[in-house]
Amino acid sequence: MSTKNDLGKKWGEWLLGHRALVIILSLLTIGLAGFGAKNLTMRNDYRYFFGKENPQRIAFEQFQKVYAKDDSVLIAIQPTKGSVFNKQTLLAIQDLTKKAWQIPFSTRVDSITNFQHTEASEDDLVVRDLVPKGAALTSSEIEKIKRISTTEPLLRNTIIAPDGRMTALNIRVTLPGKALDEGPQVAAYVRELASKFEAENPGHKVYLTGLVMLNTAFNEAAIKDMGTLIPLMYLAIIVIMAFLLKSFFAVATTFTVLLLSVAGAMGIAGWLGIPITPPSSIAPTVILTLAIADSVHILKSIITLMKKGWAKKEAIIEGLRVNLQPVFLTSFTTAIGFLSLNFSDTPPFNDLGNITAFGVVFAFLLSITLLPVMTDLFPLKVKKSADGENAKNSMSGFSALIVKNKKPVLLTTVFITVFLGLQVPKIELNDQFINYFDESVAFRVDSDHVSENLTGIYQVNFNLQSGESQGISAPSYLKKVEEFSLFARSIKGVTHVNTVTDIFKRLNKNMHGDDQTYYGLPDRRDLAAQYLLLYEMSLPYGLDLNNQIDVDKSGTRVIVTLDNLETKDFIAINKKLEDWLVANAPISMQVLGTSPAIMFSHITERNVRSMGWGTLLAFLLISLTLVFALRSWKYGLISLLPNIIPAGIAFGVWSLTIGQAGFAIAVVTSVTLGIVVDDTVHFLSKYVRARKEQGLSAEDAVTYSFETVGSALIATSVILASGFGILMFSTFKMNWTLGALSAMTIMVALIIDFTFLPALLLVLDRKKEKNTSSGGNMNFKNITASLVVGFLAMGLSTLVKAESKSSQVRGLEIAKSIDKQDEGWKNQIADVQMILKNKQGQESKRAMKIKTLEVTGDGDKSLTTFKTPRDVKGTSFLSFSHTKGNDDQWLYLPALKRVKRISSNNKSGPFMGSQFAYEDIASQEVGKYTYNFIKDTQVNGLTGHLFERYPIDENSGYTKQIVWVDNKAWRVHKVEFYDRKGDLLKTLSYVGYKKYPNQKWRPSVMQMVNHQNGKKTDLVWNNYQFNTSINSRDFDKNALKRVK
Amino acid sequence: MYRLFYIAFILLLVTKVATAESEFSGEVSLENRYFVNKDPLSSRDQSETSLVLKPEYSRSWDQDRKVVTVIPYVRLNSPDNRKTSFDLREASIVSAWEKWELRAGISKVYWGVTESQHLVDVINQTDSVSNIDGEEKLGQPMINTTYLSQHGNIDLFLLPYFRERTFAGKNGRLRGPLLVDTDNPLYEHEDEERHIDYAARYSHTLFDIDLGFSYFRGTDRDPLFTTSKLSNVGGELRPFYVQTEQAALDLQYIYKDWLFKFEGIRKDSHFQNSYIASTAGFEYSFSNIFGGLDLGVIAEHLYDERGVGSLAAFNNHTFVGSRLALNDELSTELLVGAIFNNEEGDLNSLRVEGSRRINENWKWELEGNAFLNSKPDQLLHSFRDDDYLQFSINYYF
Repeated sequence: MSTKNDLGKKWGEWLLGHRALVIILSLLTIGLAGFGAKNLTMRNDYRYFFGKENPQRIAFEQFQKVYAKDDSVLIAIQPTKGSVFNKQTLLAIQDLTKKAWQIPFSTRVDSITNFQHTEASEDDLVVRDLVPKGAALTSSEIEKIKRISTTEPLLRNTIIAPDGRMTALNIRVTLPGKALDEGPQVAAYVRELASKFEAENPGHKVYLTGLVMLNTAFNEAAIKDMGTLIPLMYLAIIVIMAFLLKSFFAVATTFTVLLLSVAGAMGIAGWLGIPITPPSSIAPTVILTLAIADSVHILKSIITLMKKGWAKKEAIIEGLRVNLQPVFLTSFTTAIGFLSLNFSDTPPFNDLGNITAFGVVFAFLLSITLLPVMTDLFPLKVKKSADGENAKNSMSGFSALIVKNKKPVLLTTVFITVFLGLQVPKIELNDQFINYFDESVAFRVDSDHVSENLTGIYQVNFNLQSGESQGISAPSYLKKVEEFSLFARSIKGVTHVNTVTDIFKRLNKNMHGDDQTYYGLPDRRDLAAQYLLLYEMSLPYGLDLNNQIDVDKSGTRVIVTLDNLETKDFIAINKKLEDWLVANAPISMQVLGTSPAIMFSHITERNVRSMGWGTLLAFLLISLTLVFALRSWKYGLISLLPNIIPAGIAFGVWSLTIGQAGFAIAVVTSVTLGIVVDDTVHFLSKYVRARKEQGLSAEDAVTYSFETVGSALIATSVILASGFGILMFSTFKMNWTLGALSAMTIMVALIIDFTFLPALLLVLDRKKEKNTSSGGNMNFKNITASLVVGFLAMGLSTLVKAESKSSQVRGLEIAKSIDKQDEGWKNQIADVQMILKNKQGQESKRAMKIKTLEVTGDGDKSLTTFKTPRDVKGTSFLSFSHTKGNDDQWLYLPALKRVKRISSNNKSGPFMGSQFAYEDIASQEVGKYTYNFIKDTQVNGLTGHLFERYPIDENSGYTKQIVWVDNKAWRVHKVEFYDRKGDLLKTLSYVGYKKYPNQKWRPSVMQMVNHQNGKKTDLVWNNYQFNTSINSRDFDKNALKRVK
Repeated sequence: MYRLFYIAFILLLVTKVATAESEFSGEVSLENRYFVNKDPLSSRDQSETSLVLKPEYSRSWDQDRKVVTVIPYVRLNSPDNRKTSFDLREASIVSAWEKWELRAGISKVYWGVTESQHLVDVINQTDSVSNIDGEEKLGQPMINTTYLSQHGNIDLFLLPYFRERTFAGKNGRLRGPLLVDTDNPLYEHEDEERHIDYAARYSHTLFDIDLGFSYFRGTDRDPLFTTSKLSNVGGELRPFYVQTEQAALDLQYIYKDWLFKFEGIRKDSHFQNSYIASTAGFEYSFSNIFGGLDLGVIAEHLYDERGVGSLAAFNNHTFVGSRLALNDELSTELLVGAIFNNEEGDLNSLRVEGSRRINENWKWELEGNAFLNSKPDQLLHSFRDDDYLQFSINYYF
């Protein structure tokens, strides 16, 4: 026996000799630590989900410095019947608007009643509340208010629904950030205001949303989780332990250990100033789950020994001796797994990891100190019986089954792992922060309702700078801002765009006697500046333009509000807006969109990336630990597989069932890694002991492992899975995901450790018994079989998720349709004029004759002969395009009468100085691209499709082309070319399609616009002739010399 | 016999053919060559001016399968009367059928793949007064049939008339110290310029390889020289055209951006030991760099068995060149080429060409040639003081 086991024995003996000391020391330590719990605070700010170095957070905070560091509360009001445009409702809103100014820390209140309406009166500009104080509100006045508010772009779709069924008060709150209860204080005030409003105005419903309410929701979710999950967890523990230990005192002992572990961990968190957030609020639950395993292992050993007839004291010492090493190992690896959460970019996860790691350490220490001592003190009655035998029998039966079917087991696992593993990348990341909460949370319900009826909650801000002080009055600047706003409004999914240009347009109209024809931007800088000054001077306190225009009037912000979109669509729209600015706006306006929604939309990606390293490090550390613990490289390496596979399978199942995940998914692997490794450690250490100390064969050693730890492993896995399963009762979606995925991973790990691990051991660990040659042969066969199965699974996995695959298939089908529709023209001759236009509009022209030959089964052949400019007259270009591989190209130089072969790698280069590249004028063979269908769309008034194609040839100058095609005649109408950097480079439009007698459509003009250098090239096609007498003989090198 | 041919040719030019396309085009250029050094041989001018007229008439029908082309060529040079010349570069008819092609009349044929010199290209005589780069050729009367098959093309040539090489005259530059007496050439064969030469060529494209075998038998386009007995002052050189046999191989392999090239000949005559000469090298193209430029880099090794002191201009030399095309609307191009002597390691010749279109019809070209570090036993030695810069402006119609 090793010295370590002796250590366990000595430790046990010492403990039982110093029971009082142990108890006092334990309680003292925990008491000291737990005292810190008084310092525990709740963190109620969504910003805390982002690290200090998070670039999106930094960007947003910089943005807030320019405008205002404020958060919003949206009070939405909906009459149960009819619209808000009636006297009672309007007066009530007016009253609420007044009261809303009393909300703590509020800096601004916007509503339809205090909207600063402007109109002309004689030569003056009248600025006043849309619903003035003491207004009579006759039906004609109400009608006017309705007309103004539902057409005003600043109100429509944000403060008032177009149908008038819902309106909102937007309250800006600037929290000083001195006390932690500032946010909750605001929320409480707003709620009281809302319930009073509902009571005073029957027939009206109030909905509350906005970022302040989001913060409060985080807060409340954490409290609620602590309130529901922890009691649930205790209940589960009592039930499980009562079943397993069948002893009141054993349960009570364990319970004490668990309680003290949690108290210690939370206390330390308090001492360290770690705040409570929804993710870290589950730490107690997780600690309970993990700590119970230690206690159960030790107690179960003691009970088993006592059943065998051991005396209690000896049983305790022996139980400690046997379990000291495994319990230490499992605690150690679990702690490593949780500590690796410190790599996460989201501080609440760091907190969760650290608190849990403290808990795990406390649980370990208490399990080997307080637990044995208490067991010794309390009575523990055990019936001497052979009831362990049943389990033993069923275990050895199972073991025999595995031994017999080791290869099917192995291959099935390989298949399932590869198949499901390949589904993992298909998980879609989605971080709609409203959906972090389930429908039991008022914030979620209200936000959903408001986004359905009035406006979205996800916004993006663009800080558009003019680059000069007072520059916002410059007509060119305003025009750009206006163009940008119009572009944003044209995007599907955008519900509202708040832009200062709407105010300028209105003022311009007002200053021209409310003449609607003047509803446009002022065309003179001094005029614009004057309007603005006049307007600002008339605005009441608190309703100035500082939230839209920066201090020295050099820039404004455009706020784009979006629908309740999925993160990827949200990012796509933001990208589109940013791209527009880069392509169309001066450098000072080329900014990135910023907002809390932007911050959340990158949170998963950033977490996945940062946790990738953390998980890898944890994996390495844990693997090394196993190598040392098992004292064998071989077994250490074998243990890797059953540690990785469970997470892969669980994620794969998730991908196929749920399909979407938020940022919690990033931490699941490292959390579970430290846990699932325990099963492997227990199983392998018993196996190794059987092989080395008892000299058993692989088969017998497997059976021995099953018999000794099988039932204990089932018990702990069930406990752990239930513990994490309980997290699924959380109202916070991230906790739900974490719980469900972890529980699944743990159960999969149990199955893998019971099937795959023994089968693997049986196959790999038998070399010594067989002669090497047949052993090698066997290995070869096994490896081959595994590979075959692996590839089979890979093949099958690609069939899954038909929708993403089918977009490729659909894209390809469209490309084939285009190709097929155009088949059968045999050959064509056309005169083509190429018109090159530079940025300044100067033109130069080329004329050429293009002969093309359709080749069935391969790419087309074409012969281009230049007529002008005259110095290149007779210069000809012969090209054989191929469906696969490089094209063949020859150039004929008439002065030398020389035919020169040229490399087709020049395909990305300009053709004759035009904006067409060689590859653009070459025939577009189906096999030269891969495809992706985007959507059905309208093309020049026809139904059609939008699809992407990606060039296969690495020499192509493009990464992507987006093609518009109609589905009547399968004519390509537009192609967008994206360069190697992924930026939009050129657009090709096909204009003036005509149908020729051979029933084929041909464009009259192909217009290529290069967006990056501003140059254009038109190809004007004339005198089409089809199906003439030419054949391949007119497309050879000799023909090249003849053509003039 | 020739008269019959001329009549038939004229008839083809004027006969009305339905769907025939006639085109009249051409080129007028004014070249001015400025020589950097004074002529050591005499007090000739430091500049030469040429006016070149090159109209072209062509008529094609039957989808370009039948083509008649006439290209007269006139060069007026001052001060060298010898360089003033007239030539018919082209007066031919081509007719193509599915498997055959027939070409008759005065025409030009280009063989080969390399850039620095054109060893394999023997059908046409070089017009050395137009340019010393050897790319300007005189029209050659010929009957040429081509047989096309899947396994390659076979060309047969009947060359009924020989064209003498042109040389600079007394007042011209770019000549040796001795004048060439072009009025009194010598021929090995008694038929003199009426000797009928033959040539054959097999060419094929196999995947990425282009190859050609050719054979020529007849009057050597490159003359030998004998000292003139007729002249008593200083002596003149009389060109001596011998009968020769030349077998040649040209090969080209294209791999991605690489073109690997080889040309080799073996020449045999009664007056010279048979010898071999070759050009081997590569061309690499950088396509679409720096926003659309094409840059070609060429390196070739030039070899001639005859070695130093012979009529071979390059016997163990390396050519390094580069072609830059801006790919702009005005087709701006720049060519630089340098030839090094491998034995001495000296730079022997440097050539620069640049051209740019002005508009639809106008274009300018600039050309510079420098001859450096030559030794008396080298052929280029005679040009050592003839470094020049040439500007030409061309009008195309």
